[in-house]
Amino acid sequence: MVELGFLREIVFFMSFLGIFALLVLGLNLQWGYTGLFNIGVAAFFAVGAYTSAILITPNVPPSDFYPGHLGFGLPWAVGIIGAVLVAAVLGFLIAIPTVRLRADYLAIATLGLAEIIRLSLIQSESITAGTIGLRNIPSPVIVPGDPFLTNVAFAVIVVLAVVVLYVFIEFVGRSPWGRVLKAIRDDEDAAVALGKNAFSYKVQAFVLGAAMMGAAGALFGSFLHFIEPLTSFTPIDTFFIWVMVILGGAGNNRGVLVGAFLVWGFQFLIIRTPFPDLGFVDLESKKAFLQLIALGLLVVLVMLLRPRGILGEEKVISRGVLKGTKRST
Amino acid sequence: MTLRIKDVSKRFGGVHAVEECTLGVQDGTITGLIGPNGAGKTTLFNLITGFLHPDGGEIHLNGERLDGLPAHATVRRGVVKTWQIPREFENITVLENLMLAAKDNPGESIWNVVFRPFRVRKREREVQEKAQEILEFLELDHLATELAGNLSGGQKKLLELGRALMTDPTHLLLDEPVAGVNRVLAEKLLDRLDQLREQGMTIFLIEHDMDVVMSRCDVVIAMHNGRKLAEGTPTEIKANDDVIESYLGG
Repeated sequence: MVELGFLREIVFFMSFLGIFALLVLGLNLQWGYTGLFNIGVAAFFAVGAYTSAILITPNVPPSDFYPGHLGFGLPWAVGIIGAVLVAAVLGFLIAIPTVRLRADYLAIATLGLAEIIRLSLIQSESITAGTIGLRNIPSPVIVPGDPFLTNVAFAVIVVLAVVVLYVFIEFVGRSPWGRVLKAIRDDEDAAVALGKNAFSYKVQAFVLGAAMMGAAGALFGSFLHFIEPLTSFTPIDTFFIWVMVILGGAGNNRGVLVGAFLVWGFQFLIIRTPFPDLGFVDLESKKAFLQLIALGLLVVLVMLLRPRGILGEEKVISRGVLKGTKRST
Repeated sequence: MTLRIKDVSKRFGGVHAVEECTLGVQDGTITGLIGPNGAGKTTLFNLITGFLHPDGGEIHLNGERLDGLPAHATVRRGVVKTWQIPREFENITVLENLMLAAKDNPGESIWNVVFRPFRVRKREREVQEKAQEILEFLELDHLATELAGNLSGGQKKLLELGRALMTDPTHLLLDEPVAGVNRVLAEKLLDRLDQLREQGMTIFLIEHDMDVVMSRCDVVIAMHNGRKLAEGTPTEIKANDDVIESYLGG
């Protein structure tokens, strides 16, 4: 029984880690590669979660006890595909007017977008069930009568999704395409002066990143079977994803995955460790705040010791370039 | 003469940076652009390369309108500029700084990266070979895998030139290419420009060092208050009363 409990913890940990991994890979493409200061990660995460949930959960009419929500009861795969597409379209619509902006303005615009989306989800009660939350979101694979195996199947799907997307992002990131993104990040005008259509590349990176965040949202809803916009999809969620990216090393896909592992691992340990009641203050009830403080200190520490993140960025970014090149020492 | 500027004006607020300026750059020459600060030299370069759009007038290259094109599109027409203060991609290696400047690289489309990997790889090899040749030409090859941000100021100037050359330009616009570069390195860079001109390239450069202008330029154009003041050989310009009064000093 103890062992099964431990396994359950691992499955839970891995499932969430996978969802975070998709988010950090998406943000890394936007920020780490292209320098797009997106503080609206939660927007695309939320849109993905709600799109998928509405597509795959059966319709629930309003009743005395529940506001009800829109639902189509479609197959699970339709949900995640829909989530990716809607998040990508939203990303495109937002990118067109905003990626021309300087980084700080883009940040404000995306932050605003995320809150507009979250508040709209709260207000659209007949579609989303509002703050009561949209519930009974199905799992991708259901093993009848065995919730544990159902969760294992979910974790496997998430990890597979991460592996596939990691390989994809690494592949395109080390291509000439990815190199142009990094050039735009380092100096947009200089890239334009060399004939690169910076606007087009920024839109592409923003949309691809948004799509990945949408996929993460779809998985998030299917994992918890329940989503609500009051405490989820908040700016603080975006902040956590940023911490993972910066801590691990922006611009390096492995780095941001390490960052996700460390930050989520840290949070997980704090959640699972009972804190003492000191009498004058019950630390257990203050855990959420202590965790934020500790995380903030960790960021400061890492930034002081390793300003480029734990792994930092690799020097040579193009595939195959080192072959036949004299290495300088 | 394939690069012609006709009655071009550009205002910033109340300042007439370039005013009804008309000039042409002769093909296959090193043409120097001189003039006091604020004469409109850099603005003119930005107008030619599409970083600014003129309020009036026309810019022609090979009979085609250049004004109105976005900056990234002028490069495809063969006009490329370097910056007064080097703008290297600091977190990218020297070799890759050059590689990413290459023209017509199918791998810069994500579609091709995924669906035409062999074509992408083949072109990428050509691009790398060319980048390495240019690095050797500029004697930067020993720094190929160094991050561009770690280079010295003068080396960054050479890197800028190398990057511009990767775009296969017909017209090279250099904004003070040897400012802040030590004598030895500057001579080397200027020798390279001579070689490029011999290969048929047209070089249009802004320069304040009159020794450089006198010894290296075939034609000199002097600007003052946003207009062309004079044009001629270096000797003619040096003797021009208007130029002496506004720029060279007695």
